Amino acid sequence: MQLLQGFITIANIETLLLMIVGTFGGLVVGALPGLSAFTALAIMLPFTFGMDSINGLCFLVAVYVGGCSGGLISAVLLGIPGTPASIATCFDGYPMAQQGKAKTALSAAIISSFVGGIFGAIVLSFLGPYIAKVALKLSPYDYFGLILFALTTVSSLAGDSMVRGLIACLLGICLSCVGTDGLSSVYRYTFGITKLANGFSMIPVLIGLFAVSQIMANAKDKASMKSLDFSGTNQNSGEVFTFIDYLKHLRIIIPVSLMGLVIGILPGLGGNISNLMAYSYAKNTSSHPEDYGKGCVEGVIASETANNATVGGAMIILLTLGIPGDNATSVILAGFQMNDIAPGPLLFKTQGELVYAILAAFVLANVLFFLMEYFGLPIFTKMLSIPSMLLLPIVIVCCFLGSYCANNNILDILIMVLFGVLGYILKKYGFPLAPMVVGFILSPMLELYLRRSLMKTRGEWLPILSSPVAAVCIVLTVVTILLTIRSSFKKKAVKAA
Amino acid sequence: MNKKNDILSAAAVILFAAAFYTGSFQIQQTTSDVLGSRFFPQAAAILLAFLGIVQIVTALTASGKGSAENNNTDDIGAKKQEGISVPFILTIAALFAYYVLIRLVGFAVTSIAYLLFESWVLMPEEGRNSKKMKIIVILTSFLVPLFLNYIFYQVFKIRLPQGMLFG
Repeated sequence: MQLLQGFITIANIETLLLMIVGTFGGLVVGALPGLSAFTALAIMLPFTFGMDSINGLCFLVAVYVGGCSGGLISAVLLGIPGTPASIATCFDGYPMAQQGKAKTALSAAIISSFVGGIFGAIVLSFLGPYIAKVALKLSPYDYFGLILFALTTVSSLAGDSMVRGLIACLLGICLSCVGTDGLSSVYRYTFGITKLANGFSMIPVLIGLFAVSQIMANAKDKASMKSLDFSGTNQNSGEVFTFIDYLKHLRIIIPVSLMGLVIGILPGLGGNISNLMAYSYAKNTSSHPEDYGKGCVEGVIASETANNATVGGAMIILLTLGIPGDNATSVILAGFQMNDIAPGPLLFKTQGELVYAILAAFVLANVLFFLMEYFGLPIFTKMLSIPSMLLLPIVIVCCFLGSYCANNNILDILIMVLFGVLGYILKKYGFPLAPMVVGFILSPMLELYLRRSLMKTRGEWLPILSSPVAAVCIVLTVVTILLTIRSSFKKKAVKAA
Repeated sequence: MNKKNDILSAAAVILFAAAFYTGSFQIQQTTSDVLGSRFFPQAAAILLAFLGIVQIVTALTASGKGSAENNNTDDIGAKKQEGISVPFILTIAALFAYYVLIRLVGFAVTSIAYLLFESWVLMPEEGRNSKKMKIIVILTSFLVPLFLNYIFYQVFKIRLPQGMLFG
């Protein structure tokens, strides 16, 4: 019923037009190799500064959904994933295109994305309010435990090395210490610069670390600036894959949808992991695993269903707990903060209209991207042929704009560039960026809840463990670390053998 | 990535941690709560230094030319690094120049100059010889900033920087 109210809220020309533009923009950027849903959000974010909160956030949700779904086009037609969430789509989508079944692969991928996305949206709509109700009852101890667990999960699983993940996370925590201490109001590491009193603004940090560092990398590889070559595949070849064909694969669809959703809920993993895990699951449980990698439609279905279900999972944790599930949801979190709204359990109580409008926008964005991709494929393939050397500088100008508009502060442009350089160096030396960003975002809350907990317990650490939720989270944190160390030793042993 | 890079990056992390820890003594100590305002930065710095040491030990004990851990899946890390790239250096220089110029001449002029320069830097050799491509680049470089300026001012009522010279 409340979801219906959400649809009524967004049922106006302005919001609908913004969502169409957002989904289209997200699809175009997501389809371009090297640019992800995050880049799409970074480009579009400045345009939300002049919008009201409902329009701005619905627009960002549309961009997010479009950005996550655009990657399948180049994955199938070129064998290059538009976004990391479509890597596994290449494994079978591209061989299918080479075998003259491009239309089959594309329609299967589009239907799978749509079903995965709608599944995530429905679960989010029905589960979100209940999770929020539970979250409202959590104490500072529980939040401390939850955030600690989130930080450990991201650090352990984001890269190949847990040590590097933890270092990146701690760097993020250190950088978040810059500014005014939330509890005592004293300045930390501001070096007398008054504009740093509020710390580093999240938007220039995010844009710098992810978008600017990526553009620096692309500039280094000048060969990537050429137009993409579609001569190897014909997008109109092959039969159309229908919903009825899709339903014949329920054996895969149900488990990979759930897998995608759960991975989305776990902070720091996102579609980049879920598509590969879903593909691996589908292959391992198949009666014909030898067909995978040679143009098996099930591979495309598994990858695309899972990566879009992940979006719903990431939104659940963002809206109910205020924890960004992946890089892209960090930008949506920034969008909330720009409107002075803090996502979390209270959001469902205090901003019910906005929450259900976002949920309705999420469902609608999935329908929009499906219609656009299904019927407008030739337009997107045409856009893919625009050379990157024209697009990347425009992306950067939009990034400058986004950084500046966040606080109307030119210093944020410099901060963005500096974080871009830092992001490039960290990536070059093998440090994953996701833990750094999640550490940067969650660290103030971690510190606040820890200090509040200790104020409550008068400095005693043990009572924190008396709370069941906190105890479970801390145990899970330790288990995650131990499992990652074990898996690292196993990998080394296999390598040595 | 080789052992040398592992040790180098870990050493940089330890140095940063040491500087961060030392810097924490500049923070005014408070007694409003048990931990105070210095505790969190100091704890983060100690953990960071510890992990830096772990990375050095891991790199030194790893057999062979490089450890399996160091193979990052990230596309930048995975690419073979080949000397100094001129477009890369120019791109970084242009990013810093943008910050300096926007203060002087504002968003529109800086963005036009930036787009012209960066498109030229990234343009492959055959593009530089193409008259059609040159026209596209020039048109894009002028139209995009002017369009953005117009949209932000007229639609969103946000004034973008005009610069000291024009403001």
